[in-house]
Amino acid sequence: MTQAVKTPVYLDYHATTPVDPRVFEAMQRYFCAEFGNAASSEHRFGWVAESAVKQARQRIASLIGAQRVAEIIFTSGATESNNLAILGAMRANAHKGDHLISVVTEHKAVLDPCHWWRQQGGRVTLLPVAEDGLIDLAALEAAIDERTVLISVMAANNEIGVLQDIAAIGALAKQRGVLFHSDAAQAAGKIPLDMEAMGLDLCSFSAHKFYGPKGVGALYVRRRNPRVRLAPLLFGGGHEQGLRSGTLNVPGIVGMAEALALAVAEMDEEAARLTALRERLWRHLAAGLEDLTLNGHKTKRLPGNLHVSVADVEPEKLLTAVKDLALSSRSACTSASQEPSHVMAALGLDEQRLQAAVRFGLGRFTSEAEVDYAAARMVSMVAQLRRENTVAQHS
Amino acid sequence: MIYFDNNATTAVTPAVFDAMLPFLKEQYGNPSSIHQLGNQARVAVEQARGRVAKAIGARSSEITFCASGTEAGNFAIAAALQQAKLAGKLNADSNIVITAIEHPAVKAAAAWFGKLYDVTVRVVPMHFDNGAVSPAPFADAIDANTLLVSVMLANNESGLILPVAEIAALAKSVGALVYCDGVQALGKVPVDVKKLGVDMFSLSAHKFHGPKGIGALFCKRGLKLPAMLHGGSQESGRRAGTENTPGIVGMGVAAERAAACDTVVIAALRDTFEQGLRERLGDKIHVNFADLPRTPNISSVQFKGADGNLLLIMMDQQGLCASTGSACSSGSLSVSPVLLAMGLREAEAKGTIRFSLSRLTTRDEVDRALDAVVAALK
Repeated sequence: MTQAVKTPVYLDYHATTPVDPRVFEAMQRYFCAEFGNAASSEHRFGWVAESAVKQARQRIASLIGAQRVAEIIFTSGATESNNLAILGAMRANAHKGDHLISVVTEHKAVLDPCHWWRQQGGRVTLLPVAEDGLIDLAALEAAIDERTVLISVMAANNEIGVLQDIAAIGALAKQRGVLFHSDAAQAAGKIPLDMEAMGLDLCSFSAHKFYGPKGVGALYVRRRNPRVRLAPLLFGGGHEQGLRSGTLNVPGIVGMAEALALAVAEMDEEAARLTALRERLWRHLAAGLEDLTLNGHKTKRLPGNLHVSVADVEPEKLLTAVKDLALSSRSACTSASQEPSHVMAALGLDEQRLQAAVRFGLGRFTSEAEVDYAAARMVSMVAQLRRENTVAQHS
Repeated sequence: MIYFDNNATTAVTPAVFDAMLPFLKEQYGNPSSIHQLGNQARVAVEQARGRVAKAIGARSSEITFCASGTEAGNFAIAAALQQAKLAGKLNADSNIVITAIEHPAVKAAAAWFGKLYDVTVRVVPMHFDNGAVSPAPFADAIDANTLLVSVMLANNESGLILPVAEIAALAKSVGALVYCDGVQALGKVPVDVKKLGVDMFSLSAHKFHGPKGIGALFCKRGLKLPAMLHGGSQESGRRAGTENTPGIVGMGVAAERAAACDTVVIAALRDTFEQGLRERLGDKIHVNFADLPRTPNISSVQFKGADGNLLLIMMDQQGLCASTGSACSSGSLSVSPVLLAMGLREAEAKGTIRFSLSRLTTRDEVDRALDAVVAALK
C-alpha cells in the first residue's frame, strides 16, 4: 500500500528543478539589501557585489576542476553558453577551419547554433548514435579533418539520460588538436566533471538544472593549453573579460555557486539514492506493464533518469490522463511540438517505441512513496487506456 | 549608507521580491512544460509580459524577454543589420546612425556588427539649441542608405532626455528602423513606444527596482527579425533558453510600479539636493545640464578643481555612494566620453560626480547626503 503523497508528484527534474532552500538562503540578501552592481568599483555596494561574484567564481572553478578562476564566464543559462561556445569558437577560429562535429541527439541549444553555422556557409557533421544512445568513437575520429575546429558532445542527454564518454572524447580531441565543448546542463552536479582530467576546452552549465535559480549559467573557457579564443555574442561594457557584456546577475550567480557546491558535496550519496529509486520505479513498472521497454543505455545514464516506451498508448493521452504526475515525453524546450522527439528518432527504434515515450526525471526531493505512487498510477492508467483502445477497435 | 547610484542599479523593492518569491520556491515549473507546474509558470510569464507591455504602451506580443538591456540592445542592432542583409538592402553606402552619448552596449554592438556587415557607423554629435537637443545633426547624418537609427531616450550619465519622437520621424522619412535604448527611462519619464514612433525599445529590470539578469526588447508588430540565441522555441523563437520565471515576474511588477511612479516627488528631492549644494558650496560646484531636459532623479555635479575618483572615495567614507559615470566602464580612470560629448571640458568632466536618486530616496537621506558631500570636501 502506498503512503499518501502530495500531488502533483514532480517527476520532471530534467526540465527544471526547484531552488533548494539552502540556495535560496544564500542568494536572498543580494536582492533587496546587498543589491550593488558588481561593476560599481567606486563604493561599498559595488564592492560587496563584486566580492560575492568573485567568491562564486572561485567556488565554481574549483568544483569543476578548472585550473584558473578566470576560466568561468557567467551567462544567462546553458542556451546562451552553448551559443557562445559554438558560434564564438567557430567565428574566432575561422582562420583555422570551418568544420564542426556534433551529435544528432544533442539539445536544440547545440543543434540550432550548428544549423546556423551551416547556414552561414560552415560545415557541420552530426554523428549518429547507436540504439543505446552512445556515439562511436571511431566514427568521431573518422569525422575529424584538417579543417575541424570544434567537437561538441553533451555529457548527459536531456531525454534518455545517457552519458557519453567525455574523457575519451577529450583525449581524442587533444590528440588531434581540435577544441572540445560539452553541454553539461544535465550532467553538472549529478556526475563528476573535471575540466582538466576530461580534456574539456569549453563546457556549458545551467543553474536551474541543479537546484539553482533560473536565468543564470556559466561557460567554462580554457585559458591555457590551449588558450581558447571566442568571439563574443554580446558587446558592451566589457564584463566577463569582454566575452559577455551585461550587468552581472549577482543573486543568481551566488545561488548557482551554492547550488553546485551542495550538489557536488552530496553527489555520491544522492546518486546512489536516485539509482535505487530509479531501479525501484523500473521494477514496479515492469512488473505491472507488458510491452514496456527501456530507452537508452542500461547503466551509462543519469542516476535520476528513466526513459521508457509503453506500447499501444499515445504518450500525450497518457500524460494528460495522469494529471497528478508532472511528467513529460521529451525536452520541455520542444514540448509544444507533435513530431516524435529527434532524440528518440535517432535511436533507430520502430514506430511503436518511438511514439510512446515517457521520461521520468527523479531528483533531490523525490521520495520512495512518490515513486511507488507514480508507478501504481502509471500501471493502472496504461491498463485503462489499453482497454479503451481494445474496445474502440472492436466497436 | 546612502545610495545615490541608482543609475548603476537599484534595490529590488519588497513588493517586487514578494511577487518573485513563489517562483523561487514552490512554483518552480519550466514555463515550457505542459503539466500543471509548467502551466502556472507560463501564466505568470504571460501576465508579466502584459504588465511590461502596458508600462510602455505596447502589446504583449511585442515584448521579448531576454537577460539584460545589453542583450536587448545587441539583439536590436544585430537583427536590424541581419534583416537588411537578408532583404538584399546592403550596399556600399549603407550606414547606421547612433548618438555620441549612447551606452557602451550600443556603441560596442554598433561597432562590431557594423564591421561584420560592412556598414558604416555614423556618430551624431550633441548640439544644443535653446536648452534642447538640436535635431539638425541627425537630419544631416540620416540619408536614404540609413538602415537603423539608434537613439537613447534618457542618458545614463547626464540624465539628458533626447527628442526621440522627432529623430524617429526623420528616420521614418527615409525608411530606416529606429532602436531606442530605454534602459534609463522607465520610471523616470513617461514612456509610450507608439508616440515615440520607435521600432525597438529596450528595458532592463534592475534599473527600475526589478531584479538583475532580466531585460526585455519591444519589437513593433510586423517587424520580422531573426533570432539572436538559437536553440528552442521560447519567446516566439526570438530568444531561446528556459524563461527566467522569477526574474520575469519581478520585472512585470517593477515595470508596473515604475510606470505609475510619481516623478514629481523625485524631482523635488533632487532639486532640494542641488539647492543645498549651491547654498553650502557656492561657486565650488556647478550643476551640469540643469538647463537641459533631464530625468528627475539625476544630478550631475562638477566639483571645481577636484578629482572625481578621489572625491568618491571620501564620500564613501562619509557613507554616501555615488559614481563618476557608467558602472559598465567604471574602473577605467579615463574621462567619460559621454560628458565630453555633452560639451564638458576635460577638467570639468574629471571633477564631475553623478548622483542618482530613486523613488526610494527620502528627504532625510538628501539632508545626510549634503552633509556627507560637505564633509568629504574638507
